[in-house]
Amino acid sequence: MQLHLQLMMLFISLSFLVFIVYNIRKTKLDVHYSIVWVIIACFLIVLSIYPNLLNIMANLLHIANPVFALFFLAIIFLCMLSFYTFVKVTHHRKEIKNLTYELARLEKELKSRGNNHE
Amino acid sequence: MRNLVVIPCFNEEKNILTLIKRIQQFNYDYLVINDCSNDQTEKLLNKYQINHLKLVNNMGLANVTSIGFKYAKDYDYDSMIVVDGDGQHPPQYINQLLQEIDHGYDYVIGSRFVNQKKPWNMRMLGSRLLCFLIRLKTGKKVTDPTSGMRAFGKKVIQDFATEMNFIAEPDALVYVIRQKYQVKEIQVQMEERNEGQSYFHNPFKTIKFMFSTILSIVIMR
Repeated sequence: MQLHLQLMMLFISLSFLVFIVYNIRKTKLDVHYSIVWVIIACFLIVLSIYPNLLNIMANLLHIANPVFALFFLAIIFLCMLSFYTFVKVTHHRKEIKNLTYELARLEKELKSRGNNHE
Repeated sequence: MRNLVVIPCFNEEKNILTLIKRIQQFNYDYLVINDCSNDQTEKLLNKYQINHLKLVNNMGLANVTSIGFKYAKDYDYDSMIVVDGDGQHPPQYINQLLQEIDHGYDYVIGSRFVNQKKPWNMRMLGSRLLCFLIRLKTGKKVTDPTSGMRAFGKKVIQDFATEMNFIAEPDALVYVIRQKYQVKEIQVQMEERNEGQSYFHNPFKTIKFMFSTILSIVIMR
């Protein structure tokens, strides 16, 4: 049963890695943002090969149940990731605003020049 | 003094022309910012050769105002005043607000309640709550924190053109007071909107607005 579960985990995490690499190659995922996802996939692969890692982590954190240690770390990590994307979205909004303004300004300048030439 | 009247507008095909005609009577430099309207606004603006910016994305009022600041800064205006495109802010008050900028104030608000009583309804309850919070945060008494009719001096234009992180008027007001800009309120009589629907018609949007604005006031530097 344990081995069966482990093989399934390994299969899922390997396909996850393949899925990520496939998306990078198809340029659906910017290679700049790929590193964090590749690390996640590699971590999952390592974890499915050495599930004992979880026990070590739980011991280090003084958490009785290894599964809780995994959940705890996963939630913290996902929160951080989500916050990072919010920061990025804010940044992009600012950039879009500046671009929208510059575009509108240039269009207006162009139009007024066209009118002067007539 | 070079003054600029900025008119943010989104789907205002029914109101915009009357407003522009009234502003043109006073001979101000004006700039309509068309926030990607999906009605005939853009056509009208082109047809009557109204000085305007056409945005290719719908950016929302806060961003449109901030684009107004960038424009005012780039074309070196000494003061700027925001007048809503729906015709709620009567243009005859523009001069009074700009005069106060001339007198050295940095941030002048067209307030409905300087010497008039504030009515007791849901919306004004929200306004009272914001007044109270602003008083707690800054110690300054304001009467109409949500008024969108505001005039800005050159320093505020420079400031707002580069970095602006506000939900709306109340938290911007807190910022300028805390930055020690000179703030003044002037009595104006606002008009009912002629056509179209207010943003605060939707109760969920109102609640979201109140919460985000209060949060922004609380965490403001």
